[in-house]
Amino acid sequence: MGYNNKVFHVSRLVFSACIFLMWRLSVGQAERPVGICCPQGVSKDFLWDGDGKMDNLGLSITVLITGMVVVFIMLILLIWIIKIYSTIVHKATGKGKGSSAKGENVKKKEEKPQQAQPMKAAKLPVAQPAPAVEQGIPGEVVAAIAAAVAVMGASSGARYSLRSVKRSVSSRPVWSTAGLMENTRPF
Amino acid sequence: MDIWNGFLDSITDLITKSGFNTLDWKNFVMMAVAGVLIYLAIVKQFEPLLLLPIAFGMFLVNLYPIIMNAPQMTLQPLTEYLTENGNEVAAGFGQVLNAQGQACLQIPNASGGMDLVLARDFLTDQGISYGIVWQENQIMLEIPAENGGLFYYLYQGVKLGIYPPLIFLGIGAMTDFGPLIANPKSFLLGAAAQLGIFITFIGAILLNFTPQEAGAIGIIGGADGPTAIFVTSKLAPHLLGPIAVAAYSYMALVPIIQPPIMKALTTKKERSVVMEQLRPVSKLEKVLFPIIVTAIVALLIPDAAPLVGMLMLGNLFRESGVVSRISNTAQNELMNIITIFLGVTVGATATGDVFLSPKTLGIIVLGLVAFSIGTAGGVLFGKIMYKATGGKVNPLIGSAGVSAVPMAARVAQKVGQKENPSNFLLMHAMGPNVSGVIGSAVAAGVLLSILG
Repeated sequence: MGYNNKVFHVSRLVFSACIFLMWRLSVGQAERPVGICCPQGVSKDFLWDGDGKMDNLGLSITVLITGMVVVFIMLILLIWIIKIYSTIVHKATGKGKGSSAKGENVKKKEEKPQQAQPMKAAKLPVAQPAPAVEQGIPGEVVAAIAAAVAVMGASSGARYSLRSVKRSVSSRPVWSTAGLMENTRPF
Repeated sequence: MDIWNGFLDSITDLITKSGFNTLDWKNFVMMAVAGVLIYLAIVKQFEPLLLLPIAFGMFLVNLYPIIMNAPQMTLQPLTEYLTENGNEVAAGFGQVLNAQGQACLQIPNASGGMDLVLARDFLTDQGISYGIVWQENQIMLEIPAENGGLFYYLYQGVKLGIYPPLIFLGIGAMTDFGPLIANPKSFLLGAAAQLGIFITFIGAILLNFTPQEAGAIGIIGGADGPTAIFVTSKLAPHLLGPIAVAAYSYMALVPIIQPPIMKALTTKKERSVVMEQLRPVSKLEKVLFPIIVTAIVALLIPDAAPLVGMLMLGNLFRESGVVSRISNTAQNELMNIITIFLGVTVGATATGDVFLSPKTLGIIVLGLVAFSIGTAGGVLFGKIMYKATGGKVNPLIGSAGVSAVPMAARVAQKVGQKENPSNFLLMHAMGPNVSGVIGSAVAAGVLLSILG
């Protein structure tokens, strides 16, 4: 089963469990109104023992389980919804059956060579030589330039790599350049 | 001689009222702590935008504690007040408590009987907005005698939960959710990284914090300053100072805390994974995203609505492209103003009594635990996704699920680049990074719902 199918089936199961839990909570709502985040439709009083002291360990575990479950359910729900509306938007903006069929064919062709070499994806990629960076240029600036260069090839499918980064030497003063750009902007 | 005596009296009065006479040793220790934080903010540049106002607020309140004082009230009988204001008829009405214990006035009606009218409603009709108390068998009005301090009024924005959502408005206007929309599975990494919040909650309970205090401490693990302040102001406002300082300090330490954990939990092969290029995201998707997220989160977790709603409103300003002035204001002027007010007033809650206690040490340790477990949770889930996808997901991006935007994404990029210099994880890591903002807001809603 493909990865997307696994995610779909697991998230469908989790979502169904969520709907069931919400139904149980709503059944208990008339007797003891509580928020959705209290488990099993029981009021917070269940955490108190007969002497009125809070069962802190019980509360901690309840908060842990409830918190993680609710956060995951919420975000899985958002994943679903984003995928659904992205598909709708793509279809509505003209990437209809024809192009999606083409896309599927291209995808299938791409998948075949990928399936034939499943181990290669898991192997270490060949490390590219680090770009030659002029002294004084911060690492963050190099990272930003490298990311921009990588994105450049996204539409054409080409892969660019950064070989060197050095400051450009301009004969024109900065203020002069700014003035020139301001004056030529309308053209 | 009279002039000389007057001069001496004035000098004596000044000395008596000076800080050297009215402050105690805790104030001076807190001033030293504020000095250290100012050093960290200016010299080491630890989140200076917030740490500097927090540190100076702490400094100022320990120099002049009255700056945070609430307004002083005096009690005046309602009868006396009404008589002074020419309403002798109303001053003659009987005053009783009803069956529910509420203060009421006995007002004669047209048929000769008496109507019981709630005192609050009567005063509202009269245009009187003072608070009322029942004392000495009569209704007393709480009349302000002295105004509160400057920071008291600015602090109301924190106390009433106004500033953090406004900060989220600015953050939303600055955030690009494109990488998240292009790869929605990043949401799972943002969810996994919230594990630190709930594990730290357990740790805080074991250290004898109350559940509300533990919830406020746990939210440090969300690595989100405004969320931490929002939750703390509602669950444990007395711990606002130490929690805010801990939260922002650890956010600045993300590049130091995260890399050892990332390297310990991943192999070289996993760190070297090069991920597929993200698909381009259309403007319509980016415009629909904030509307849909707001609707879903607000319907299911209403307590998270103020934070997530304002975050998405800011993002809608940005993505719509038709309100650039408002978007610029939200990102710049509004953000800066609220940051100043929030910072100084949060810092001003850090008095010696609260800060110099064993609880603060517990908060500092638990804050570190929260961050570390959050990072580990994200990386471990990243490893699960690596296995599930057959090696297509680099587990390092899971560490960016802590919502320290964009610091955590940058850290993932740097650690990945150390293994493979041509590996560009920054945009892939931005997905979990911004989903962590939403995840921590949802977690905050859960905590407020259970513990509030």
